[in-house]
Amino acid sequence: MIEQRPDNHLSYDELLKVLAQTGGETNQSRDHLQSCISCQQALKRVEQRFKHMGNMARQLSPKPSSPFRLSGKKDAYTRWHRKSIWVTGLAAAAIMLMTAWFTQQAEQNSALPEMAMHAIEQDRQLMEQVNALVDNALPAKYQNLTYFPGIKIDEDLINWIVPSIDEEKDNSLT
Amino acid sequence: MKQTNPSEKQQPKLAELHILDWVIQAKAGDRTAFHQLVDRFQPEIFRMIYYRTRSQMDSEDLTQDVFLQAYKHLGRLQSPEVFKSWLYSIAVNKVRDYHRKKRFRSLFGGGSTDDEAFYETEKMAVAPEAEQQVARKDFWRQVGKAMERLSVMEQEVFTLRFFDQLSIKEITATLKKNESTIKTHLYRGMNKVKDHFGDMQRIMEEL
Repeated sequence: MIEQRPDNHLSYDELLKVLAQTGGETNQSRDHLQSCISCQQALKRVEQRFKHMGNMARQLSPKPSSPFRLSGKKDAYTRWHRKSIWVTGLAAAAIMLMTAWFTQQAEQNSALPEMAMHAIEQDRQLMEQVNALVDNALPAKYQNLTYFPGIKIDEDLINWIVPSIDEEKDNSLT
Repeated sequence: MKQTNPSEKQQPKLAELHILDWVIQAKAGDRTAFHQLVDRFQPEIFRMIYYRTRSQMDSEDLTQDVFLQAYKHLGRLQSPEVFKSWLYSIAVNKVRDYHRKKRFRSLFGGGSTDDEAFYETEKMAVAPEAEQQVARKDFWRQVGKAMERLSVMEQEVFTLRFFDQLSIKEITATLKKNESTIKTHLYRGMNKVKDHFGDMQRIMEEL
């Protein structure tokens, strides 16, 4: 609130506004302050009171016991930092080597079932050959002798031309 | 109005140039330059923290933390011209953290926040003559009383302006707030503190 004094001098509140540079004082007061020595002195006195309070606080405060210095701590920190980078690098390299070794081992392990599959396949083929022999043990060159490709021969005709041993026996009996 | 000596005007500018150089050099990794900045700003950062913690031991620790953090993050500082405000903003945040932790500890009975504890620490840390000790104690008590009526933001702005003697521009940069907001808080703070001038004046005369 602006309380304009009758003699146009600035009120305490206006002086505070000028000090705080709020711009809340009127143009009239501003003009008055520029020309009035009494108001200028009053402004200085008010400012001085506040400043004096600050100065007293300054005088009644202790001083820092020792100046802050970076030495030592920073070097130690840098050394530690460098060391930690080396340790991290070495650890990363070790992990990579381990990973490579495990991968190689895993690949070798995965080759084993392949070999087993190959062996199984060989066994199966052998068994096929054995079964083929069980069905027809006659060597291939003899198999074609009784074989007439393209001609379907009746079984009875063959039996009439070449009678079976059983039939021969039967005839002899009769 | 008081006529200012041109050499007086030049001096702060030269000092600012030195600071600027040191900041640029420290940013480039020059530790000596950083130590120059420490020597220049440590007393005021220490005081700034002391005003808010009223404990010398905690102020020592927090000041060290502020400079350590400043050194670590100096690379992030975009414009070296605002180094002072940047340093103060680190300190303001450290103090806020300190109070938050203190309140948290006091909730679980881990620490004391009462005035008695503060004055005990004060006695141990400063230990001057008895009369001065009493006056000192009264002064800080009055400051505490005056500040009690202020909001957190008003307290912060008022202390930065008159205790830490920062300009309004510097306060704006430190607290990262609008300039007109800072001015309003400052005006309100001044308006509330002025009622305590009588008591404070008496104590200041005693001292």
